[in-house]
Amino acid sequence: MGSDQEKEKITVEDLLQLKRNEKPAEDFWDNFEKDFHRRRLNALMEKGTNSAIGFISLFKALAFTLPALLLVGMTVFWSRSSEPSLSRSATVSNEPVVFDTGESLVQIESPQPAATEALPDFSSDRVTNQFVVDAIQSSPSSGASFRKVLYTPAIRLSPANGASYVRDNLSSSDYRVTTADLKLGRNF
Amino acid sequence: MSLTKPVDGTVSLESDTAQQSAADADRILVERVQNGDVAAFDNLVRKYRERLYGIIYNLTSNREDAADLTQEAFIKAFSSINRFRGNSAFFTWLYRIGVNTALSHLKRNRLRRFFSLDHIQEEGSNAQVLETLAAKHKSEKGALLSELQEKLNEAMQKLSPKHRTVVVLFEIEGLSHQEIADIVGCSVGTVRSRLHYAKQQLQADLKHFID
Repeated sequence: MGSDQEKEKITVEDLLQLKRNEKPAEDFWDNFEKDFHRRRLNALMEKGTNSAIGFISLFKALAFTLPALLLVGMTVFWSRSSEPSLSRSATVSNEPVVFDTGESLVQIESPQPAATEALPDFSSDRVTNQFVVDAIQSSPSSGASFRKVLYTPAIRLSPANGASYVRDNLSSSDYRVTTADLKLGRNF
Repeated sequence: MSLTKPVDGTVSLESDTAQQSAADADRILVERVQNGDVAAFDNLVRKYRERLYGIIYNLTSNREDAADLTQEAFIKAFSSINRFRGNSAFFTWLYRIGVNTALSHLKRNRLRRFFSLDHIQEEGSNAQVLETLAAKHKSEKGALLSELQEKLNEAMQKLSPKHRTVVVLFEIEGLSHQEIADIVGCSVGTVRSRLHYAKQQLQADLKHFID
């Protein structure tokens, strides 16, 4: 009798456990997975774009600041070596800079203008993150925007960022980017 | 991960072994993702999506928000997977991201709340509870279930997000006190005290069904 009453006693824990059975409809997870894949693809493309833009900015900053710093450094060295009391001489040309300290020869490489010339011009092709997101989110039938994304050199996807995953997804029926596009694309 | 929870909230030896092998399997998948195998993350998503969705859904009481926030949490986990060093179990780390994502959402939208609830499936161990309640209240099971779901939701939403989180993780998701402490980032004592306070509140709000 007592145990029957115990059985019939409802606790707050019993009520809360009913919430374990609140579940979404069966097709919910199919849509969930599709949406998740689309969002992950966006995240990968954004990540690639962010890191590419960051790398380009860093590269540009270094290209400007390094020669400047070297120039300042050389000027300081030069002015010191020009002081009569030190009786040192320096030669500046395209050749490596050689300082004669009187006791030994110190050689410093001159700044390389060739490094600046080798910088690719990314500015005209730079895309915003939003552009990539919009491109991916646009209608699957509008393949043109994907081509823009594929051919934009500002986007770089390293293997760790899942370049092959993005490539496979873009070539899937969802996005209809052709194999030829992918072969021509410079990003993969 | 604990699939069953002892009454005192501790983890038994048997579930310890299961937890360890689940953690090992997760670690292998995580390493694959960290090495660039994006698709390996799908296995982690499939494994944890229902539980993560359940946590977020019960925190927000809105199924559309819960779906969106669950995906957001998975994306956050995916994007920062290289920062996961394996100092805690993957699911602890993932649930922490999920809970924080849901709590931030609740904070941002505290003045604008809409509730939309999933359907309660009448099955399993809850059938007995429903039978008993229907008999006590002399009402039809379907109607009782709707009323109960509404009252439960109201009572849960009256709790502060901190208290609600502990109730969801302990009573609904069946995690241990220690696991909850790891997820929430507080001591086991704090988890216990929050749980005690929250249950008192719920008991008062749901006394119509309990008495």
